Amino acid sequence: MFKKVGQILIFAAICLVASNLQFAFISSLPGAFNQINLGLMLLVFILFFFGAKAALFFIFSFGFLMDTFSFQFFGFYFICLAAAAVASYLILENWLTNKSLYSFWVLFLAATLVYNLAAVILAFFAVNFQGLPGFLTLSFWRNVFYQSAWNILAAALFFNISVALAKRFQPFFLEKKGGL
Amino acid sequence: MIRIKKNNPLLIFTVVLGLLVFLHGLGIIRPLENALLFLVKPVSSKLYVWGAGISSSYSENREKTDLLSEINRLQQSVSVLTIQDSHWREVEGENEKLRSQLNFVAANKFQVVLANIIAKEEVFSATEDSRDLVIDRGQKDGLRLDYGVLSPDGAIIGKIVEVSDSSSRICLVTSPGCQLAASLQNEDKTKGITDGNLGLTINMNYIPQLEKIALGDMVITSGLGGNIPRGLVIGKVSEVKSESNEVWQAAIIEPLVNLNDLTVVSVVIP
Repeated sequence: MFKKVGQILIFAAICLVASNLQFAFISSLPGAFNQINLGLMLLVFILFFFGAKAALFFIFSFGFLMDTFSFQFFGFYFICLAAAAVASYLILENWLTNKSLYSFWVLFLAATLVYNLAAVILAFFAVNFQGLPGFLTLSFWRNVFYQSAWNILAAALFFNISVALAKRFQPFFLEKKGGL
Repeated sequence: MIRIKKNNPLLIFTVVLGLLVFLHGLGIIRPLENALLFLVKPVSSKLYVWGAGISSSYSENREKTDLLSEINRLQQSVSVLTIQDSHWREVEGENEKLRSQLNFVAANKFQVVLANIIAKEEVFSATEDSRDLVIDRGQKDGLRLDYGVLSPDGAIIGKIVEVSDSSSRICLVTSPGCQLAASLQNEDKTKGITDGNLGLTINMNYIPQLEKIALGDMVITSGLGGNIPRGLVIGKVSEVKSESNEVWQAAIIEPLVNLNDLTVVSVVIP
């Protein structure tokens, strides 16, 4: 019981720190650095290594905090993160056959695209369809490119650290005993 | 027939999201939201200052450092002097008018509220890249929609476009869609509306062809139609777009302060 409460508190603290970093620090960084999407990175990481339930819990914690801090309409970050999680989950369950670095990259790229598409479509709804939808602008695709690049780097880092720490993701080889 | 599993994550998500949006709409979870904001605001402010510091040093390192710092120093003093000059010119003009009417009314008497910038927020709906600022003051501190926001030098950098209990969102004068009623400090005292351009400069459109605009003319707020007082410096004219066969001409205005380096601002309460 205490262990579970402790885990939930640690998880909530990680979400609080991550959301504050995303909201205040990363947003003020120059150039392509402000396109780092910490929430999305953590979401895919959690989905890949800990499963859908943990990812759902993360969406609620991180999404609630971001929706509280931000001036987007309430539910904006919930929906964007959920859309990215659903897309990643479907790809992970139906298309990917193993948990390799390449699978991890595919998930990150899909999540980045879906998250950003959801964000601009929701924003387009929120302004009563005024102007152009964001995905028709050059800046949208530039931002998706930067985010994908950061996410690919982060995926390589997360994956290698996880493999080094956890045995179940280490590669293994079947060897024939007593043979040639 | 579609069977819904009891522990379907999508179902759980929809129910919890619906409940949270409902509770948020009713304001039941507002105390929790305010408490969270109160808790993180000091940390956010520090994090933002660090990020802005990195941003500032990053942009400086891209050029030759010594030369750039010298230019920056000179630019800062020029901007301070230009703002002062514009202020005095405005005061002089007003003074003359007032003297001529023998009606002495003290002008530019307004209160300001100091605020820390705690974040930059992406505007997903803008047609081009733009980011708004979030400050740590809100309705509780007396801020309202459309109040003007000043840099420490006294130039107007934007206006409030959204207010919550304890924070506000500011659009920058260079952001598309951020409009201010403005006036040129030229012979004709040309009036118009400024609008941000690509997050870099400011446009002033629909100026009649007969109005004379010169490069370097100062642009100030006109005080028309809103909560922003007259005489706050917006920038100076850096380019005039005028075609003889057009009805209107346009001016491109450069802001006098670097909008990326700001960490503290003041909100004008009229």
